[in-house]
Amino acid sequence: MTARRLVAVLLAAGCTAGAAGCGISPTGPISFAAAPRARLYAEQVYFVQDGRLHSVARSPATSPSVRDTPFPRAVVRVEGLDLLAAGPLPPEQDAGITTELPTGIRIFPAEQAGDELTLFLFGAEQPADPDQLSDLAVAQIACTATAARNVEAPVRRVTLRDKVSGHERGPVSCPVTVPERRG
Amino acid sequence: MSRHRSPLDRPVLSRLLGLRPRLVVAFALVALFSGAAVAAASYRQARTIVLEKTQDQVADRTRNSLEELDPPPQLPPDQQELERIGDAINGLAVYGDRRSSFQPVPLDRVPPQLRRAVRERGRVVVQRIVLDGQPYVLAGTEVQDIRGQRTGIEVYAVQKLTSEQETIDRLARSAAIILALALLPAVLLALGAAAGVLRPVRDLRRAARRLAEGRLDTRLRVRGSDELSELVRTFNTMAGKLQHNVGELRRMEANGRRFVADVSHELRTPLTAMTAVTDALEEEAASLGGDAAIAARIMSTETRRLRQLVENLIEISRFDAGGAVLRPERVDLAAVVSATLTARGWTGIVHTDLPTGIVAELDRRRLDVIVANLVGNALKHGAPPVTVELRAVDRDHVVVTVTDRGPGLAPEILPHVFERFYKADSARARSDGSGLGLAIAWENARLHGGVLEAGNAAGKGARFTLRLPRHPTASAAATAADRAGTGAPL
Repeated sequence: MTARRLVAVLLAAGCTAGAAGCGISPTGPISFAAAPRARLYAEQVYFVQDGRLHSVARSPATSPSVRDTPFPRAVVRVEGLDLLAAGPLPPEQDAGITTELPTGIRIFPAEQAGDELTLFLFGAEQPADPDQLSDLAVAQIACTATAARNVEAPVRRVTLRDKVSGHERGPVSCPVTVPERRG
Repeated sequence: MSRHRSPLDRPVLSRLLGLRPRLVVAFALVALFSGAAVAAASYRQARTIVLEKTQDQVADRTRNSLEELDPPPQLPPDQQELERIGDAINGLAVYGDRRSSFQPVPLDRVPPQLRRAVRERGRVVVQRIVLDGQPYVLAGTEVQDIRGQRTGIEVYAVQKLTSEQETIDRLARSAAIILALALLPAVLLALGAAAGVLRPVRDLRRAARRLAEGRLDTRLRVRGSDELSELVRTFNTMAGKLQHNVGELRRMEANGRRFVADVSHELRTPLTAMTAVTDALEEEAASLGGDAAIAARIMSTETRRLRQLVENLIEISRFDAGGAVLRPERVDLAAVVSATLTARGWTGIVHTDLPTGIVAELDRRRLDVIVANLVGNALKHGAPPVTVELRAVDRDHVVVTVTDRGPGLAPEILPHVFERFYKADSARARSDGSGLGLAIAWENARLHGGVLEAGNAAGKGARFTLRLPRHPTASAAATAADRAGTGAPL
């Protein structure tokens, strides 16, 4: 064994020892089990943040304003749409979350044909003309309705109809991916 | 015959790279390497198992506490709700830009890549981090609702890996100890193997040395049938051949010497008789007159020369046979040299510088032979004046130089001057002398343990320098006694 070969062997041994390492080394993130599912329903409500759609998970019936708002009788209510109409909560507003929907608007389903849902818009203080809503506001409604839990069947397209004038806009689809409706 | 170098003479490096250290190092390295490989593999395996078990526990615990959280989290959670969730998992709950007040690992110590992975993957994500030298495992996830939809609540549970660290350190320590323990038998095995390999090599070395010292009957026992025994067999064959050839050569040489000695002896008796006759004839030569007188004189001269040659041959045969015996006695060198010159009738011809009082223990007859041969040679081949000088160079040595004023010795002749029957002048095929005089002088000097050298004087002419010890040493006598013709120029 020449001196050179000896050095090579020692180097190889050193490398092996180095690769094995000792102690506990940091790792990158390792995906593990599926995320936990808490025993609650989270309604995905689409507001606006930095000019873009931003979904907020809400426990149903947490907004007292929704419960207190007078609704026409015999109206089927979609909780997510009620929460959307109620607007962001004060802490959410503090975080820069806004809505493009006019204050006091109410939204409830009129009829559903397959995956197309027609919604009534009803303005409390002013007329709720769909044409006067911004595109972002329409998207907010479409996405929240698509993600909503208590509608008859999965919704893909939404038509907005002014309850007063009967003026319609749509059908429109949610421009972003929303969680698939399950359960 | 190359001189053997003892192991201590060798440089340190080459001794370290000797067969035994190399074998030991190789064995130790093999043991160390394989042991380290096994230890490292099992260490890593064990470490992975220990760490994964803890990570599984943390992830499962976090997951279960969130799924069983009762009442389920309110969305959006207020600060109180975040604290409740954080307490449930014994970690950190984050919603938007708010977080629970969990101290051990604040949110800014949670790696950004873990937060990103938690938001993007929708799974429980585990990451090990080291904070201030302490290892932790972090399990992060975003809580989903019962349908698997996002809630925006991120949680990060944390657990110190101190006990795991201890377990792993213990593993490493025991692996190192086992490795060190394994090294000992490996080295012992290596030493054993080295001894097994090296014993034949050592035997061979010893045998080769004995062979080099002239003990040609050296043989090795052949054991086994491996490569080394093959080498031993070859060595034995070589030694046998060598012994045979050297024996043959010695026998032939001895035969030649004995023949010369025998011939010389056989010639001596008739020559003695012939000398007597030719001496008588020479005395009568004057009365014979004419060619007969010349013939008688020539015959007388040549017979004397022949007799001298035979005497010299017998003398040199004695040297060759190792039969020359030194008879030292205390002599005054000046007296001996003077006596030599007087006896040969050279007193008037040779210049002398012989300070009296230089005493040495020498064989008087042999010194006489040396000086006579040197002076005779100088008178015959050099040119006068011939000078004989005697000097005591130091307490133990005396030097006698014989210088002539002739042309000196040519450089190509110098190495051969003391060879037998060497003719400096090839044209003079037949010398007046026997051709053995200087050889005999050389042998005599050597018998005394001295040196006879030929050279040229500073000015002009040949100079022979005889350097003799004042006391013949025991070793010189012994060497002279047991040498059988080797070493002397032939």
